[in-house]
Parts: sequence; C-alpha cells; structure tokens
Amino acid sequence: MSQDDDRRLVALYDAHGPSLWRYVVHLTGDPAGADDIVQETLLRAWRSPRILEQEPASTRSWMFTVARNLVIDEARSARRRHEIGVGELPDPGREDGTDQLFESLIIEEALAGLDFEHRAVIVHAYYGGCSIAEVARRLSIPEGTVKSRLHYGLRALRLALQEKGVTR
Amino acid sequence: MNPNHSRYADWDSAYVLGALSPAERREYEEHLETCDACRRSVAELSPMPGLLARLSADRAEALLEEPEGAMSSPHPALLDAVRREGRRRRLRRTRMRIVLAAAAAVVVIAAVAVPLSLMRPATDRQLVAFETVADRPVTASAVLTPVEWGTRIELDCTYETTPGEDHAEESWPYALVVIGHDGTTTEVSTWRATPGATARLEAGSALPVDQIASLEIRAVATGDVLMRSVAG
Repeated sequence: MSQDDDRRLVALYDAHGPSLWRYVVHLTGDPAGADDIVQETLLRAWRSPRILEQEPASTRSWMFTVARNLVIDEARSARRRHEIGVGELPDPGREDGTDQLFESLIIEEALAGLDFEHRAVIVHAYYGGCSIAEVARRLSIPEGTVKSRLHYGLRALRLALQEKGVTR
Repeated sequence: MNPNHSRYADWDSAYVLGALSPAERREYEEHLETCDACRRSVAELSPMPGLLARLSADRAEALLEEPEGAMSSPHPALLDAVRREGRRRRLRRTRMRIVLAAAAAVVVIAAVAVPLSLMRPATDRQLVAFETVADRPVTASAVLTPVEWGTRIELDCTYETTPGEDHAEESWPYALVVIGHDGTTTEVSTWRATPGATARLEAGSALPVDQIASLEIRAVATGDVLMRSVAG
C-alpha cells in the first residue's frame, strides 16, 4: 500500500466517517454494529478510483447510499436467519407504501449527508417552523449567518437530491 | 442585475422555506419584482419544501441529536481494520479470477438453456434482453416471473474484461431500476460490477409483470443509464 493510498483513506475517513457513522446509528439505533458498516463503506470507496475522483459531495452521497444498502442487506439476512421482524427498518420496493418510505429515506439520507451547521438551520427553519430570528437565538449565531447557511445548505441538499434522481 | 442584489443574494432559501419575518418577506418580494437572478434561484428552490415534507419532523429532528458513543476523529482502530481488509481482498481477488472464468462458462450454457425452457407453454416467465446504452463491456439478461406480490426479477449481469487492460482495483456500483407504465421509477437492487465477474441477483417489484415498461441498469455514482431492456 502506497503512502498516497493511505493518505486517501485517512482523508476519506476525516471527511465522511463521523457523519456516516451517525447516519447509520440513526437508521439502526445500534452504535456497536455501525462500526462494521462504516468500515465496509470506507473500504469500498477507498478501492474505487472512480468514486475518489468525484466531487466530495458526490463521494459522500455515494457512501451514504452504500451504507444504507448495507444496513438493508444486513436487516434482510437477519430476518432470514431469525424469521422475525426487525422493527421499522426500510425495505424499499417490496410492499405497499414502500415507495413513500423509500422517498422519505432518500430525503433523510440527503439531509444526513449535509454538514451539521447546514442541516441544523434547515431542520429548525423547516421542520421546527422557526423564523430566522428564532433559529439565530437557538443556535447563538447572527441572523445573517442563518440566512447564508440556509442558502448554501438548501442548495447542497438540492444537489444531493439531484444526484439521487429525485429532483431536476 | 438589480443594484441591491448583494443584500438579498442569500435570502432565497429562507424565503422558500417560509422563515422570513412578514416585513422581510414583503421587502424580498419587492426585490424579486426587479431581480431576475433572485427570481431564478427562488424558482430553482421551489420544489424543496414539497420534498422535505416527505420526511416526518420527528425523523428530521432526530438527525440533530448526537448518538451516544459518537465516533471520534481520527479513529485508528477502524482505519487499521480497513487497511487489513483491503490487503486481504486484494490477495483473494487473484484467486477469484480463476473461479470466475469457470462461472462464465456456466452462464453461457444458462443463456442458451433459458429461452428453450420458455418455449414450454405452461410458463409465464418472461426473458428480457438488454441493449447497451453507454459504452461499457456489459451484457445482461433477466427473467421476470409473476408472483402474488408482484414480479420476481432474476438478473445476470456480466462485466467483460477488456484484453490488455488491467482493472485490478476497479469495480463500480450498478443499480437495477424498474420503470412502470405509470411513469414510476424504482431502484430495486444495487451491486458492484467487477471486470470478469457476473453478478446474479434476485430482486422484486410490487408492479405486476404487465405494468413494467422497462428495466434499466444504471451507474449509481452518476445515475447514467448503461443498459435498457429491449421491448419483447
């Protein structure tokens, strides 16, 4: 393994590892199992030159998709092993209503892939129904910063959804 | 461009998400009347609230919570595990090559045998061929079987090796997408295409066979369509 190769791995981890881990825990509620999923996702990205050549945002969105699929695979094989339900784990495209579930999962994944500061303003402003002034108070940042984070954050989200084929 | 544009340049998202105060909203709407650039960005962002609405507020707000035992950066043990696993798979891959060559021979026999089995009248199975859309050395075929919950899809997808090219470390995530006559597009499965290897996978669609307009194989990274089923 070359030093360059190793540097790429560390850079991948630094850029995406922690947020990927949080997303997996969010999906599964299982911090212990999340390490394995993050590890496998990193490995796949690291071994795919085409993925590494992409813009960081595309690499990230690809890694989140890989991680989600690993979680789904894991859930399926667990179900095969035990023949019991696995809670509300997503299983896209199998049953009625799963299209909506799948769509919400894609939105969730795109949101989880944003930087924390961008995600925070969008969640407070949209889902929390807060005004700019309220978001600024909650996060202890100036109102101008809230507007500009919303501006960049919502654009990044739109880009991520475009890549997933959700919007034009 | 409107001379006041710089004051309003980053108000677009706040406006679209309904977060501006009533006074600011009026001010921004007045500006919109005279500024093409801002009108354009508002138009671009206008689908976003509808998309965000598909996720519940509970799930979205949970994305701001820090799970217990959050992973710190850097994480030496995990990185070491990735390095070890990377080395192990590189070794194994050389051995896999030989096995895959044998598997390819089996695929050829299967490709001949499946259409013959379809000539039996009692079966409802449908063999689907694919045509290449993008320039990739990929061949694929699928069998669709009607089942009570929709359609079972069995897909074989082979990525040929190109003589003289070394693909040792390459592989790409591909996705199988089902397009319905009603215009819906559903990704039903993903896998990694590796030169010299055949992926055999089984997927399902809630759509009945006669509601499936076509199948596509896409590159996950770019969304590009690589192969499309040929209408039979």
